[in-house]
Amino acid sequence: MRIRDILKVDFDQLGNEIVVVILVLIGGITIFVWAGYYNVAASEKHLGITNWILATVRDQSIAARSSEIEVPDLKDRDRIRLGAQHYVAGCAFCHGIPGEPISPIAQRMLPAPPDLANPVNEYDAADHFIIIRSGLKYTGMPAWPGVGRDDEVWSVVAFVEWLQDTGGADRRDVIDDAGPEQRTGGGYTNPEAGEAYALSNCVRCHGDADTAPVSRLVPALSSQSPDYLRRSLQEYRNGRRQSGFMQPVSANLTDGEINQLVDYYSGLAPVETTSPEMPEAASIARGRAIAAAGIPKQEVAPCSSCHAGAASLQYGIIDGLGQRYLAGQLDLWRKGHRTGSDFGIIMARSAANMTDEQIRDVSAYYASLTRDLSRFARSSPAGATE
Amino acid sequence: MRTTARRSAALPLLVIGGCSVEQSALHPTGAGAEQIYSLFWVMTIGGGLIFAAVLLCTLWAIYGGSGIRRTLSAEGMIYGAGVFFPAAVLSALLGYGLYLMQESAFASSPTGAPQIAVSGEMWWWRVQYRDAQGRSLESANEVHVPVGETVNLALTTKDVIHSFWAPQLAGKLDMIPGRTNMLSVTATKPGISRGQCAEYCGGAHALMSFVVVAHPADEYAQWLDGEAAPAKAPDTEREKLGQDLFLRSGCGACHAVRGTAAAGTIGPDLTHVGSRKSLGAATLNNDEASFKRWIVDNQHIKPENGMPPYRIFTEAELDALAAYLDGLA
Repeated sequence: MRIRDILKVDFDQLGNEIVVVILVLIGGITIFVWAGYYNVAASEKHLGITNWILATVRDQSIAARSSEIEVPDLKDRDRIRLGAQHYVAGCAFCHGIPGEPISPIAQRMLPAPPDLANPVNEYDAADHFIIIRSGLKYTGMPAWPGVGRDDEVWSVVAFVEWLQDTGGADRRDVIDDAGPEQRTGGGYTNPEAGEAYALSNCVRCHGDADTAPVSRLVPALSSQSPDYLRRSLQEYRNGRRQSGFMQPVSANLTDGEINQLVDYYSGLAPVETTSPEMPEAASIARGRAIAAAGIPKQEVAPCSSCHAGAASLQYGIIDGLGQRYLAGQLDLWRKGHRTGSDFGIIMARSAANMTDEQIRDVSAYYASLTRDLSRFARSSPAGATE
Repeated sequence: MRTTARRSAALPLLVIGGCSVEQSALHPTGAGAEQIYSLFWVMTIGGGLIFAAVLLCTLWAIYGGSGIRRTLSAEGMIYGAGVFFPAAVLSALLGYGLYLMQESAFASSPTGAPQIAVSGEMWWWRVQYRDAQGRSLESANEVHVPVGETVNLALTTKDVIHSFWAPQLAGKLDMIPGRTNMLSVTATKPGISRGQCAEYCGGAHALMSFVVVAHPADEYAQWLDGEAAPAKAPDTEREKLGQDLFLRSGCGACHAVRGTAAAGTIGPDLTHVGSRKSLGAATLNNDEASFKRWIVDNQHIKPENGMPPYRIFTEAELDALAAYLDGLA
């Protein structure tokens, strides 16, 4: 059977005119592209029709992907305050922040990044999640740098929602109180220029000798094992551990800077947090049992085998870390998002079979402990493999 | 061309492999296996004779005269050879089979016999011994039995259906979730043989084997005493470093080494792992090199087994760990 039979088109009946039209079109498009006629300059605005097509395709694409997204609690102060710090450092340059106008450089982008501090946009939280996590093609909007870290994306979404709702009216509690002005890196002796910059990136969220972390989603680093801190920064630097917050600030750290920061934080005494978590006593008791004996039926190893006593300091010290932080990390392990490093893959095995409740309990137990500083007397036998 | 050559070279190897004695039901060293061995020959020879008779009748019917055909199709022949004979033979075989099952069933074995609990776990065997004095101890991947004494095996599973099969010792019996299946075995000759999980239980099913060691009766008590003793303290500096690494790296979360702080119950007990005939449920030879390989690369040796790969050690640390584990005789 020939094509003309299938298409039921009698080519003989078509005039030569159509052939000519097609050839002219092909030729015209070829000349249009090859001659560089179309101006891609950001200084040249799009045609109205182009704008309409781009915006419609974009919004339909976002809507199609955000409809199934389950939105967590975005009034959560911990999320908002953590998201604020990332926003100030990573987003404000293009999207602005109350009191600080968008950079003139960013204003000359096409499309110009929307001013989120003076918001008029029709996106809801789920749309923002999709945009921040996945980025937008043909705009300057990047995808989230930490693969699998939806938990981090939600913090930034929470802050953007706060901006949308309040217009950034009371920025003191959310941004400034927690911000770098209050956190100077007290106790850090004579930082050199590069170190001071690196340190300012740490203290913004993790606090310093005098201030606790900005949010309960952020781990306190004071008195953490130096071996563990060093390994963590190295793993963020080489991408074996994923985080949209930590990878950008670790990417350019030199070994010298890492050592300085590790010395600084591991030497600090724990700072009392202003907003302590108050888990129930029963939950702590259940967590204590898991920490001591594990859950053999679910092949969950006892935490205390690696995170207590004389265990290698390559394993992080988790006594006194926040419940929300610990539970979040266990959830990452359970979902297989913290398996990039040789140490992470060990932990993933134990976290894999834990239930939500067990994660909450064991995190509550460790959050209720005070950090035992005597463990720093030794260094670790297990060397880092980086 | 070369592949074909290699294949044809491999074929005799396969055949020879089938003749290997250590996991062969044709070389019984246990009471149950001997009965199965007899049953096998009764069945094979009896079946062969009947087959020959049927062939003979067929040839006879084709080439014989009409008289012979009439005889063969007579009513007496149809009822006799077609109904009564198979009914009698099959009933006799059924009786024989039921008798054999009864023989190896738990009920027939004396109470107070040493008891061994074997639990199938993906993909290894947890083995717990309880002797007449009520002493209980745990080991893995090896079943030690005394010659001439009936031993009761309590077979359970932690996860999916496994099947315990030591062909030289006895018949196979499934391990079914929620049940304890009892198997009585009596070794008749001292020696070492091999067993295998005989019910597909997941990806590494083929690597779920075990070793059966039949001790002369007087040596068994001695072996059990040794197995019940706590682990040997490390001798050399290297072994001491290995023990330190073992304890400080959290190995004790899953593995027990009796006499140390390591008391994990998730993975195999390693108290006397250095004295076992194999590693990884009869997957690797038991030597320092295998320990090193297993620690670092166990997910390639036995994919998806419960132990995560420990790539966190330096070469020197691995050497020390392997020396310590190999020294746990």
